[in-house]
Amino acid sequence: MKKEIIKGRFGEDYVKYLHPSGLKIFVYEKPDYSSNYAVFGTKYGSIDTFFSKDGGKNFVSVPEGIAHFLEHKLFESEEGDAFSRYAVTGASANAYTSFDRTCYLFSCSDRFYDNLEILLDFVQHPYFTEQTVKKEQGIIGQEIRMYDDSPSWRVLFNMLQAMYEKHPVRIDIAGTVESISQITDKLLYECYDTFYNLSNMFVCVAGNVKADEVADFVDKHLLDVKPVDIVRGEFNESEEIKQSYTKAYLEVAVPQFCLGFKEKCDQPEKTAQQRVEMGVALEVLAGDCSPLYKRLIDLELINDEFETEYFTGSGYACVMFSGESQEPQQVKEEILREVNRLIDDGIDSQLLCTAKRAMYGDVVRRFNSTENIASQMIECAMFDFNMFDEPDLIANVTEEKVIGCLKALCEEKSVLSVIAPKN
Amino acid sequence: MPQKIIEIADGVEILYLPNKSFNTTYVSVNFYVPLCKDTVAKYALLPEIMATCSEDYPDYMKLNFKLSSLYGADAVASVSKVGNCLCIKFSASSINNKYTFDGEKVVEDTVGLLLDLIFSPKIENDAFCEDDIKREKRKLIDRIKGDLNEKRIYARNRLIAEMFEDDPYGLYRLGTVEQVLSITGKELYSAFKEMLSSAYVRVHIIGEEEPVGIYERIKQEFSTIDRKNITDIKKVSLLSSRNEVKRVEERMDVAQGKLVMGFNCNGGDDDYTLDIMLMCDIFGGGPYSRLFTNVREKMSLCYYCSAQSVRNKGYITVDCGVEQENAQKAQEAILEQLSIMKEGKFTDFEFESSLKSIKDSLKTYKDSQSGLDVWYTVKAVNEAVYSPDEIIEKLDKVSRADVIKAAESCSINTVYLLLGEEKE
Repeated sequence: MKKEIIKGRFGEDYVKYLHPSGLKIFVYEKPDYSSNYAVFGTKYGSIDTFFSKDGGKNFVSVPEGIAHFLEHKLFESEEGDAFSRYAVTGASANAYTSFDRTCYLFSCSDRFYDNLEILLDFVQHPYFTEQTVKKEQGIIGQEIRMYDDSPSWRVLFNMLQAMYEKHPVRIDIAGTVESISQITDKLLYECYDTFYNLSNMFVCVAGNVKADEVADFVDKHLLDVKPVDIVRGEFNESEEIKQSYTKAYLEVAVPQFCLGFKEKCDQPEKTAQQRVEMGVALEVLAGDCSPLYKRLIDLELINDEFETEYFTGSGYACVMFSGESQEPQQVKEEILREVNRLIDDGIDSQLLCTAKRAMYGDVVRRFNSTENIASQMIECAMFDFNMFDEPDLIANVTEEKVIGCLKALCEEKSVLSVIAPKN
Repeated sequence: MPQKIIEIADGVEILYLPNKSFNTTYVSVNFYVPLCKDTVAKYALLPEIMATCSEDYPDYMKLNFKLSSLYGADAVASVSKVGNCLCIKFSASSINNKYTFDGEKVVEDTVGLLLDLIFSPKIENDAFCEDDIKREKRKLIDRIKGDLNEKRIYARNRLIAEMFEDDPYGLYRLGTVEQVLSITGKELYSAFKEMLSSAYVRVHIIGEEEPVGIYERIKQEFSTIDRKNITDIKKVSLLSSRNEVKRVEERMDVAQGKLVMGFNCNGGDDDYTLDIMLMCDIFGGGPYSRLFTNVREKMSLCYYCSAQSVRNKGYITVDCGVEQENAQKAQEAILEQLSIMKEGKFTDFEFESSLKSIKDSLKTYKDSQSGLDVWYTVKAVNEAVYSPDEIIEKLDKVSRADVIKAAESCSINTVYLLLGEEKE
């Protein structure tokens, strides 16, 4: 196993191991903590609906929502479910599926290795039958219905559907009641055998543990499987948006909006440097020290719910502004006007400096919790970057870089999604 | 053993929790005032204004800029219901001095700023300023309305309001839109004065070291305040029982219905109610619980179905998302699981699993500053305050028989049902 110690700047470091199977293992020792946090994950999410497991010879297309469905089903085995095994140890276990990943996790203070054994075991032992698939369709149907009533969820997906024509980021992570009805045990195995290959997976642990012990333990509990050559289908997504405006009605009291700007994504993923640059640019443009923020508040166009996000993953990148507003259209106009002003007039250097300082503070804060550290390590595993580099990446952001980022925010690439009150 | 708490002025106490494992220092100043219909909206609006400007930072943008330059420190205000009180919390978190670029005293500066916000607000002619009031009223009203958006939260709030219709605890913590609209700058200033003179005050400091000068500063601030009629936070009334179950049904255009059930249970301090804590967890806590394994997994009735207890007020709630046609079935299934608890038919496995799970998560409290802060904020109403570790020890003394007795103390009080519009 190849081992690399990544030296940190807060007097701490973490260790990265590359297992011969291709599995990446990350361990961050936090000896003063009583809690441990572990994640076993795969680079497989809702967007992976079209793929090949033989290096690109044969492609298969699978129903929307299948990654999330698989996540639910993986907890089951012939003997019972993983939750009842965790019940013996007292750990708190969970799992989630997002656009580009599925993660199984637990947190505990006692019996860490017993818990790790359960985690490694159930994720490597799928058990799907026709009957168990049927039963799950009911529960997931309930989950989908719950999200149908959630305005923050709907406003986001309506925006993505208006922005993307082909890329599966446009579909709901859980799929639809209709799409999940097409899922079969065979299809689940097909996806499992492709994406739950160790070469596509990672284990991240943060807590009161010893790195080498964790790596040895993981090594002893891995199954011997041949690597799979995964090729993800291309979707030839156009650079243009599909439609610039979408509106729907739900039981809400204040209208909600999500404004997105579609960005070109020529390499598979944005680099860490690019993501940090956009983060700084958004802080300078719309952070709570920015002239734009003051204007939006003083004009009563936004409230405390206002947020920005750089939403990016494999083959997609989008800059998002979301919140509540009586006049979402006017929010959009103010944002565009301010972008143009900054491009023409330049950036206030004191504002840039303060934004960078605040972002550095956020990085320091993040190392306060094993959960945050573990999610950072997942990012490292997914995008191959070093989490201790972030302060330097932030420090390196210049005015030119910020302006470069802001140029992506233009009217032609924008989509405004609104959820308005019924009646 | 109770925690060491220092009383620094009449009804003003400081609790310091030393902990070397954090990169940050966290301070919260909590004002407990009586929960009451006429003041709840004022006390919701007041901290919002206080957290956005002060005498030294009259403009919220100047304050935001200052906080950002303190390495993104945050100074936030919030209100929550605790026992018979409303707790008005002002908190700040700063990275520790050793992580700054030039060894700045960022912890002391941040704490100083927090105390300025509290003790030196922006006041003109004995009133808060119209501009600030207008701005924060609008944001607060949006938040009040916003709680309608997430139906799970909305349904829970509605159950509490219906179940505690004669107890101020039933009030919504932010007041009503009408109440907020009618508040004047002078009224807010009186509320501010009242808060300083009569609230029970609890300061929490969590971090590696105590910020230099914090005790002296707080002591000095309170030395100029005439402290009187201090709120008795330990006096907590329990949910009164009902002869007949109260049922409330509401319709909205939603895809999924929500069922929330409220129960009376034995109430009081940790010394008397740990059996309720364990009972409630076996009933509807983790994935090993009766509700999860039966109502969700076996019967596939709902995606979520769980129970929570608020022991100091003596009640338990169960909430779940259900299809309209299953609502009745879900209610019966939940009540059946409660009967099973009362008859002691839960398994040893469930008992042991729950105990382990609770103990395991209690142990992780000390790894989170905000977790510790919430713990001691809620526990302040108890006669004896225990740390999470002390509760772990006490839990070992709770037996199966205690859990059965705890279940027997439960009786259904109110059922709230949110349903979709009737189809024509």
